[in-house]
Amino acid sequence: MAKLSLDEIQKVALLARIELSDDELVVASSEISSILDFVDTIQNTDTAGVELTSQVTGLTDVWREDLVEKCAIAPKLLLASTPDMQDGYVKVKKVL
Amino acid sequence: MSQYKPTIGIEIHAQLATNSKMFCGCNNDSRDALPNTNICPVCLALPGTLPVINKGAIDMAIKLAKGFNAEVARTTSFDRKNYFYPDSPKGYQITQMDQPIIKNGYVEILVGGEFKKIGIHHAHLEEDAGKLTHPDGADYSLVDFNRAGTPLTEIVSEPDIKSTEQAKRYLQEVYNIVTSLGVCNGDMEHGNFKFDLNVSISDSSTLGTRTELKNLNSFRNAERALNYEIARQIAVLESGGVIEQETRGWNDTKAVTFSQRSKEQANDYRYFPEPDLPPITLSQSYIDQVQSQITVLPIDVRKDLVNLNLNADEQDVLLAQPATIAIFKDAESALKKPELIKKAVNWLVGDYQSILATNKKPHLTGERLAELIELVESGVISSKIAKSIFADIVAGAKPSDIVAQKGLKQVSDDSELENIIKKIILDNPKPVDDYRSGNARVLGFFVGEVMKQTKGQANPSKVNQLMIKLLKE
Ligand SMILES: [Zn+2]
Repeated sequence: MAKLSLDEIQKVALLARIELSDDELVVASSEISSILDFVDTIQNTDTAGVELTSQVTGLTDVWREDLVEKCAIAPKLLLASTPDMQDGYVKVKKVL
Repeated sequence: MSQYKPTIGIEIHAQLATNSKMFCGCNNDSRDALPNTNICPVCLALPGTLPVINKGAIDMAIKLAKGFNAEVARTTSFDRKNYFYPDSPKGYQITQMDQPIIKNGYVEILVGGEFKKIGIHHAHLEEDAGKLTHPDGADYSLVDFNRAGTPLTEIVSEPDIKSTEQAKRYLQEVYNIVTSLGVCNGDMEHGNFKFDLNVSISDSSTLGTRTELKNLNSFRNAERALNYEIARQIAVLESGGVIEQETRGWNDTKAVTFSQRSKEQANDYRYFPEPDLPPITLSQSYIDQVQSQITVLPIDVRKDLVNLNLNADEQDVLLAQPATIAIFKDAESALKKPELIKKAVNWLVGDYQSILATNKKPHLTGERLAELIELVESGVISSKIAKSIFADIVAGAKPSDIVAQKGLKQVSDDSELENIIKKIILDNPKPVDDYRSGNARVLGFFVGEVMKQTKGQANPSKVNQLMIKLLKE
């Protein structure tokens, strides 16, 4: 079983911007490790001769002409679920 | 002391001058827009939305490939770069990792009178993030998503650049290419053209550890930051230290580079193929069709200008202005003779630039500039008169019309000029005596008088010639 260390879990949590308590770290460690085991199982599948696939629709060249289309929904409405606004800006926790 | 040589690689981010954003129809020009007004469910990443590729951005990349002497990938696709930051609504950036649209090119730069090729590893398309501002002293930041989804091209050079001077020339040349192809507005104050510089130094053939100078937005700062960083690295090595691979910023006020602890490493971005965007396939005939719209490349103009013995500054003035290049090319084909073409260049880098500073809507054409030069060349008007009517021509007047209208034809007729000169000699006995007793400098006074009386319309070489003849009588 591929066991992830608590440090590795901590780093993944940081990248995902999720805060985990010490107890949650332990739980996440065993859960994520079991997910990795499942990935191992999949990786053992024989894929010789199978083409690498990241698209399943078979579509190509889906594009649009370079034309401006004003959004029919008012910006105010688009941002209605924003917790905090100031002078038209979205207000967030201080970064930098 | 060892001889350390720098090795520099550059990543440039140029904003594409499309009408709409990369993956939605929002207006791509938000210079005069209020914050968060050019937004829609797609660029805000509201649930259930899907991006659609802007064909205009693809076409611009195809043009750029020609400017970079590069291949256009026949199949190109997009990837996700995952990171969380308040300026990124989706929590990832759509970019190109595996199959960038432009590959294996080069840019020619002119250094020390010779052309040198700087390799372009690749250039890819991606989207910009929103804009974050940090009000002074506030415990919050503000986000404007108008820029979120603006198309960018990231141009990645090979580490072929060996000095600060070469780096500067390379940046200038790429800038000329993207602006002259109409692919980027080149407004550096608005961050249209930004770059990261990778620098290492070494006294052997093994490359040293590199640092990355992030987010520079002026040529001058690039030069200062590079000079500083190269000197800093030398000082570290000379004192027995080691260079740490790190990201560094440039502090303009203090004129130093400083360490920026970066939170994420490349593999932390967990790139994977963008499932929402099918790949783009480009046929050779389509690529040819788009590239055939390009009439002239800056490097060809530069080579022309080098042949006309223009210095680098004069070349850059022209090359930074695609519209002026177009005027130059038209004047060049009308004038044909190198000495006259050189005159056209002199107008364009001289008087024309001063007029451009105030006249934002010039109407000068290559044809009219050529006509003006021909009028002087054939002696119809003096170069002084040409200078005096140039502003009118830039404002839209036809040279021959304005000469006729204002009665500015040069006086070259001998008898007419002789009468004027004879009168001046009579009116000025003292200077005449001076001249006859050997003071040749008073000749300038006489010529000036003739010019005054003819309102600058006398042919100067003719005046000189007649003046000397008549003074001797
Ligand atoms: Zn949008």
